Amino acid sequence: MEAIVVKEVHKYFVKPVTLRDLFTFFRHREKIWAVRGVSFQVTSKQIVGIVGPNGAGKTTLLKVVSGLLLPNRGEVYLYGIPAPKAKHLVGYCISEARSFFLRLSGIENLRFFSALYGLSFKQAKDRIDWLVERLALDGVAKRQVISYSEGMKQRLAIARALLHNPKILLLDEISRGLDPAMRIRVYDLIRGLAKKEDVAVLIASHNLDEIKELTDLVYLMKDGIFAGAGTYKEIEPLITQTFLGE
Amino acid sequence: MLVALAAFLRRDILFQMSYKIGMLYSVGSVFAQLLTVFFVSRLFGDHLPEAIARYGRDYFSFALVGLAFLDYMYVSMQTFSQHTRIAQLMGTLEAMLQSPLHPFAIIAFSGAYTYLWTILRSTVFIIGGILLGADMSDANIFSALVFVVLIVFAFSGIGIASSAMTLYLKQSDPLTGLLGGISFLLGGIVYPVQSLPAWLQKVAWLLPMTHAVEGLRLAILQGYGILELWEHAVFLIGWTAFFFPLAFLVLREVIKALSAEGSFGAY
Repeated sequence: MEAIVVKEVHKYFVKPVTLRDLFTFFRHREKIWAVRGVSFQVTSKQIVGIVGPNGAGKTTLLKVVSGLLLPNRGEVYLYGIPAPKAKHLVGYCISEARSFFLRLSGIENLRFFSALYGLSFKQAKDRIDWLVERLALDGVAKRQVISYSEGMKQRLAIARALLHNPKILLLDEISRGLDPAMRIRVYDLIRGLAKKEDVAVLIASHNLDEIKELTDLVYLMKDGIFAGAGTYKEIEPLITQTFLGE
Repeated sequence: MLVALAAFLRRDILFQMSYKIGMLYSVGSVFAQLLTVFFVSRLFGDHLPEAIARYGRDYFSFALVGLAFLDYMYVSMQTFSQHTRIAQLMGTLEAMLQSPLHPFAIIAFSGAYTYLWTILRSTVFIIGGILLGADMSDANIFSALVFVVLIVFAFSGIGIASSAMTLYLKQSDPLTGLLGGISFLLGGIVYPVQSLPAWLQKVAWLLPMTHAVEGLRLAILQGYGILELWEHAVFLIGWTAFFFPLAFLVLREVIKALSAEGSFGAY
């Protein structure tokens, strides 16, 4: 079943408005294009990668799919629902280390976010226990997040994305800060979710090992457009050329 | 919804408890303010100006009511934008908005702890005042509670609009501070409105805080029922009816604009 349908999405940015701009009657706001006419689909059980150099538009595309960002043109449907209304279906691992309440513990952060997803106390406890064990956070879960390493925060971000058992998982630079052993553990978890629990996974990354290891299908993104598509093996020369030519 | 509200409360209680000295300071400031009013009130003795004497109580009881409920105004106007700004700076706003919880609820619930703390603070303030001799024996508790609710709604409309502007402009909104200052100056908090020049009295009666404090004083010190206070209540309801829908409209448009700009995470 088609979990993610992206049709002709265009997205550009302009500088956010400041107080001074409000008093400036005429102002020139330059457009910075991030995504230009991108279309693709992801089915359940499928792991799709978007690979590309920095600034290619990967994170913007992920945010549009998540419903957090509206496209200037085009449409995104998640299981047939427009993306902004389908947040309950999405687990989004934000690539932002600051996105936690640093003076609370890892467990308290997860409890807080589970409530935002409507989980009862019992549901949240069972899910958090499972995630903490799977992501090897047992030893640090009760410590304040302020004391976490980058890798610990990344694992906590993955746990948060999985709290509500999402049917669609969006992962941005998933292996950042993870040591090799933890990477294998996280990859196993993601593969298991996709293949055994029918989760559709969309991964954005410039880490080629991660893309090679995890994905069934890869889109190469450059300057806001898809410059190639196929299995990693099929488009490996194009990817290598893009990265080396950068 | 209730689970989410409880989660916001729990989060902020834990957060505040991690700043133990700050908590102690907050508790200490209640008693410091209470004692200040108590000692100032001793200056008046039995010689009260007519504008205060008409409430039938001493200056301490008069000022206590004004100050005990002042925080509801400040909290309602400022807590939402303060929490929004903190979430922007900490980077947690985008993570919360990613959840299916409505942005209105995220902003409204973020003030839950501050309201809980304000209720505790004003209760301690009033009980402390009674222990120090304030006379509230005729208080109409129902009328007083109605006016507290009216203050919260009258000012939280402004507070939510302020929060929307903070979201959009990525800086604190100075207008609520200004309105708070004017309300403190003219609202009859620690001195009666009648002390002001005649033209300023007219301005004062255009402010919701003036009506709120007058209603609370008459309810707590004189035992007025809600029907006797209808003029003040209607003023506050009118203010709420204007600002509340306006605030939600502004917030909805700001969220739409930020979703297009992609600047939720920006600060």
